Amino acid sequence: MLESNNNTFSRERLAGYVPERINHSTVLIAGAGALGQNTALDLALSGVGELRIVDRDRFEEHNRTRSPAFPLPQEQDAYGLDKAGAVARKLHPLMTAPNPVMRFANKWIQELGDGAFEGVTAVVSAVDSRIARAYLSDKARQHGLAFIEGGFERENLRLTSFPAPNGGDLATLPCWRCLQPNVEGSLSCSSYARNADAAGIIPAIQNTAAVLGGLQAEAAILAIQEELRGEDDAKSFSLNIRTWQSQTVLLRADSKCPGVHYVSRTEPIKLQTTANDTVEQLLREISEHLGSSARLWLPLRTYSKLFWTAPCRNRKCGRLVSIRSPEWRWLMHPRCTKCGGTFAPVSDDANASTYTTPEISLLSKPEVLAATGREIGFAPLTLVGAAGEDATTAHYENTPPPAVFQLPGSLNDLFESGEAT
Amino acid sequence: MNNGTMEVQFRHPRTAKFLVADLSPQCTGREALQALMAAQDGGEPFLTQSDGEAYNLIHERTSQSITPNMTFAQAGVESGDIITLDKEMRGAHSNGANCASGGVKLWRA
Repeated sequence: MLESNNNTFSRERLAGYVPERINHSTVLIAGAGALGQNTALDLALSGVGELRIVDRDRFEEHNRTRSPAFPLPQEQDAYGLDKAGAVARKLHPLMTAPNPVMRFANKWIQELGDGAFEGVTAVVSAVDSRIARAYLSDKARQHGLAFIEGGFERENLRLTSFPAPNGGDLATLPCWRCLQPNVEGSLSCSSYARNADAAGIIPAIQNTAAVLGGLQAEAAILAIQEELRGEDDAKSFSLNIRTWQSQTVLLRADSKCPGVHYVSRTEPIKLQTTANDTVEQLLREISEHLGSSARLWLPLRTYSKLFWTAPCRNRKCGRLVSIRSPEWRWLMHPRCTKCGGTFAPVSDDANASTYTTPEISLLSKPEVLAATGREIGFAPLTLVGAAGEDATTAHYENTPPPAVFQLPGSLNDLFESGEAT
Repeated sequence: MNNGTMEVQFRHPRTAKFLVADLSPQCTGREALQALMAAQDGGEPFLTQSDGEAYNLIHERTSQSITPNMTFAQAGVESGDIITLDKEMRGAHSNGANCASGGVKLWRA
């Protein structure tokens, strides 16, 4: 890696960048496909101090035409073909910040919990899953962060930018979900994929990804240097890169938006119970803090409700399935192993029945209490919302939980280092 | 405007077609989209929605979005205005690992 010196950012300085601020910023990029890579490349070159890249997908040969970070054959043994890891290791040497940090996780973004957002300035969405985009939108708002969302198809692209909330009435500040309130009806990537295949769509080209990547990266820089931004409005920008036809739209809030419209300002109480301890241990420690029997809130908006058992969604099957995961994981492919899913049918348990819950208390099923925090979706550093017995607010209201706790851990528990070896 | 309704033109997201509709100012974005799904244009549906596809409504005169629960009156729509249907676009296009599991490979960008 080349060492930065006084001359490194001379041109960017003239363009209004303040490298000292950019060098100390952190950007979280969810999705390391064509768009995520192009955005990450631009941010690496622009001097962002820390990049966190998250993706669970793997490279395939056909990705090469729009993947600036596709590992060369001689790099594949060292970097692997998991997108997040390979992209992180390829781009780390290109980072121009004086002490660059590159982290990656070959996981679903939801698996990382709140820790992924800690210390972040801007959240960039480059994913295709609508449930992941809803999650990112909600988490960005909850943590008071700028959210930058991009999508493209053929020669068309759209950038949507939601600046970090800066006071004002948060209920009237639009979020991504104001426009897309129903992500459940179209959660099935498989159906989307079948339709796309059936239609013969080949939707992705590098040139669109590169243009959109540049727009996303600059939107992230504007989140870091707010003074460069003209106004605070949430906007979307569409462009056809062949006809140059473009449109900018001012976004507005929806009065019944199901998304998070608050910023959590409560300093969390640090817990000693870890993500690997049991739910019962977690409940007992939180109950001690609250002085009464605790109820854990599993936010409905981010699809964190616990799905313990539910019927396979294949209508011809309907077998009861053991899920033991947050709802989002089940919704990715809600089928039993016999129907192509990942969740095994419940075997020979005559008493088994559908069990899902948005709250957990010491009165919950013994097997739930015996599960680890990780199993029910609590990663290290995750914020856990809880209420005592006497709390009057309900978990489904669009308000912060009465008390917030944080599981112990560090970023190293969530991410691997992307430093090239 | 007749009987409190207003004439609005909807621009198709992919073609140059317009659909002219008489709408109540109290019609919401969601209701308008539902009506457009049901509307016929020369025997064909004006708008189809595959699983996974979503549309947004844009008020052309003000360049502002019309959200699902916003009424056309709240959005400032007036008779003669054009509303563009904007198809949602997605970030990356995965190879399938994010969507399916159990060894099912579903689609490729």
